Amino acid sequence: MAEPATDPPVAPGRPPLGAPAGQREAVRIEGVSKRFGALLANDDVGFAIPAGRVLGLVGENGAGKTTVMNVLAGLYLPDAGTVTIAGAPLRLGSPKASVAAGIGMVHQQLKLVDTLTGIENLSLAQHRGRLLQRSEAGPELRALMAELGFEIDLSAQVWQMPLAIRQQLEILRTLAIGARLLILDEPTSVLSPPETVRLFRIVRRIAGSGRAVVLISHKLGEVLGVADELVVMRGGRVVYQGPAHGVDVGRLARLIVGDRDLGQGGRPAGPFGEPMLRVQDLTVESDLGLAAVRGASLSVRAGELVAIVGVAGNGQTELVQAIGGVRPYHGAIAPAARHARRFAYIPAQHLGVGLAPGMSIRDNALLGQQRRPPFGWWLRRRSVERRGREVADRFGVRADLASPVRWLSGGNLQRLVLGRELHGDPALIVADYPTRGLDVASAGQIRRALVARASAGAAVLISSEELEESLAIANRILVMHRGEIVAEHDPRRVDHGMLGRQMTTGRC
Amino acid sequence: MPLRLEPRLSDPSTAEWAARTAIGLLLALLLAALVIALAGYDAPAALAALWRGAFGSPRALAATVNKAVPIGLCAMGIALAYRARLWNIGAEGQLYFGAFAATGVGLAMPQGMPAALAIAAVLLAGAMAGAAWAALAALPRAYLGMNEILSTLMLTYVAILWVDYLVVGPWADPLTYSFPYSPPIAAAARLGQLVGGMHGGVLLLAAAALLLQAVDRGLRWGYELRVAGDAPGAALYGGISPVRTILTGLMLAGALAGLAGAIEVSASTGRLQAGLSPGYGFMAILVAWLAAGNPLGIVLAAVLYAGLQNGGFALQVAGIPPAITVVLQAVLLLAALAAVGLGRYRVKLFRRSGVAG
Repeated sequence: MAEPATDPPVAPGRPPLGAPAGQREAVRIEGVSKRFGALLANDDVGFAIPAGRVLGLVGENGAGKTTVMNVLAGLYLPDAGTVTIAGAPLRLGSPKASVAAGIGMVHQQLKLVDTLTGIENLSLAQHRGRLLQRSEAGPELRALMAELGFEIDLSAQVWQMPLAIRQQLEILRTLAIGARLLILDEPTSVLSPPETVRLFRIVRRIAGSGRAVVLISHKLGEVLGVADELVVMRGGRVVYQGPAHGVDVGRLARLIVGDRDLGQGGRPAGPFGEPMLRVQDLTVESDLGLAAVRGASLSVRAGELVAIVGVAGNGQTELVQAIGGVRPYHGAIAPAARHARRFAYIPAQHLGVGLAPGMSIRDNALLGQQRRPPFGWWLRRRSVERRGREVADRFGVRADLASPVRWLSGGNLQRLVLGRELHGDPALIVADYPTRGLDVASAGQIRRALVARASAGAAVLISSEELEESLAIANRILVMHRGEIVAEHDPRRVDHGMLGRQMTTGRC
Repeated sequence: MPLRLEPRLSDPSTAEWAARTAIGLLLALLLAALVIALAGYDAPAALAALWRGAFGSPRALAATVNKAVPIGLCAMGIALAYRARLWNIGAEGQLYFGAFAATGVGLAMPQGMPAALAIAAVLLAGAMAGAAWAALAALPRAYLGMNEILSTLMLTYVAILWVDYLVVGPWADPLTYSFPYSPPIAAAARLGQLVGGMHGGVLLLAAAALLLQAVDRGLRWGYELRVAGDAPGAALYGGISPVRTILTGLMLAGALAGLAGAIEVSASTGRLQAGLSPGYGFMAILVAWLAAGNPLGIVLAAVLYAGLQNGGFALQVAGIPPAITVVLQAVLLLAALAAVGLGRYRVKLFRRSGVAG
């Protein structure tokens, strides 16, 4: 890894480089190490988080980003290291002490009470121990919301709120109980592009108010657009800290993966054969009983990779779930039964859908194929072991086959499901957000695998939230808006502006 | 606070699990001794009487093992259904209904039937009736999502009252008209003794333990049961029918409990009677949890609970209230559950690394 001399990488073991003069330092992390069994998740991690700035924390899945943030939040007790907040040492391993010191973390899985209103959720956190919760926002809260640009109807119940608003509510709650350092773990993975823009506007204002923000994300373009400072982690260590200004996506990607090759591999070249999947006039209901897919029709030919794009919540997931056989539908899908031969379905959510969290990797490598040869009414231990090994090795799941999958990282979960579903070289592959939440290297590995299957003659249908991804690997792009397929494009000849308009308005 | 509990990443080994359980049981015994002493009785003498009554002689041991059979069979069924996270609280009712069907077959069978055939018919009738009784809860659960905890429990009282009615009404034995007994079943249908007073039901308990072991170790049906229990969504995704899982899981549990009822009639009482079971089906819930669903553990825990039951009679003879054994049963369960629960954590000592800001 050759870096220009102007960007000083941080030498591990030394205290981090000081922030520029005149800039207060909110939090300083020094020498933090944390080991989980054989895995050294954090190895002598140290960096400073300046006040009034947005710090982008990037790295692969398993690079140790979330671990060091959990140390800050008091959820993990590190094996070594110290955290200093405004000059005073933080008592480690105590969430209470971290909250008292002004550290607030918003996790990927939001932690709100769905059946309470917004203000009740805030009051629950703010006025702990009060017999009666507040039912209206006080003046301080209203001032805070106005100052930072929150637009939330606090009298609505959480389950009625769109995901983006719930996330804002959780951020507001964290700030309302006094957070001076706000940690956002993958906040944009569930947001549409316009929602992301709104979130980042709030994030900028939070930093502008003198608070510090740490943003963990895999979407490098977004990070570079909003962050002032960058910290890059790889293999449990900090490999770069410096200003975000002057760093481009390509360079950041190289910092993240080191000297590994990330070749994209292009799209399937054809020729295309007979349609392997035919969907006619499909209507599907969402969990709330609303029409999520309205009369969609599509087909995917052998050798072809088709991507469905759209703003989150426009029916892509329900469409793919219906094809995958885990959601009831009206209309015609051929082949109808996924348990027909050589039909792979990769769901968006792994734990609890694609995988049974409490069961071992070995048992999960079998799921859905337990009724096919070589397995009979008695699952022979040797066959199960061999299948588990093959599935885990296909994309390199690095873990003990006997350990429950609940302990695996997001990347390993994805590699396990993919390894299982691509076993036996399926002729039809349907994948819902196959690269969501994955780092550059893992996502590249999975894209190459899908393209390779299509090149070998399989029909592949994916839903994707990353336009760049779809443009790079698909042969055809279908745009979904409000449950309908509104347009079809050749990704080699498509106007990005028009694509964006079709995704948000459904029209050209 | 220089001491802290941290969750462990791996499950404890079998040896460690056994050691923890043993410590739990020892603590429970000490607690029970304390309770006895506080009640004003001689604790060592009481525990000695308890031991004599439970395991102190070959005769006592055989009686204890015989009692462990119905408890263990019911517990195997409960643990089996729980593999699919189904709560069978109604083993007691399934046991009674099994006993009813077994008695019906035993009363109706023609004279001169070969013993092997007669016994098989009686036991099979019991198992099928137990499964049928469980199906009354399993069908609404599978098709309507009706909570099986409530339905299995409530069906228990129906089954007990049904038997109570039969033994004083249509099936009352004219020869023992003042007792709530049915007439004795055919002699050929009586399950004989093996050795030293133990009856053949022990073999069926061993077979049930092997079945539960097979569910964990290789039966595809068992695998599907476990997936359905761990993640219903993943089961659907994997092509595992929830209806099939619920019906087979609960009905097999009911069959084992019904078999226990048939064994009681065939091997112990020889007839249907009110109060046939002193709550074996309920004790079995405790036993299944105490053993954490492990087949060998269930056999051991069933023997332990059966011993407490028999030891209670010996306490009564020694002039100590037998209610002490109920206290002991509860304390045992709590101590063992605490030992197993704490086994998921490790105690970690650490140096204070800073003070709160």
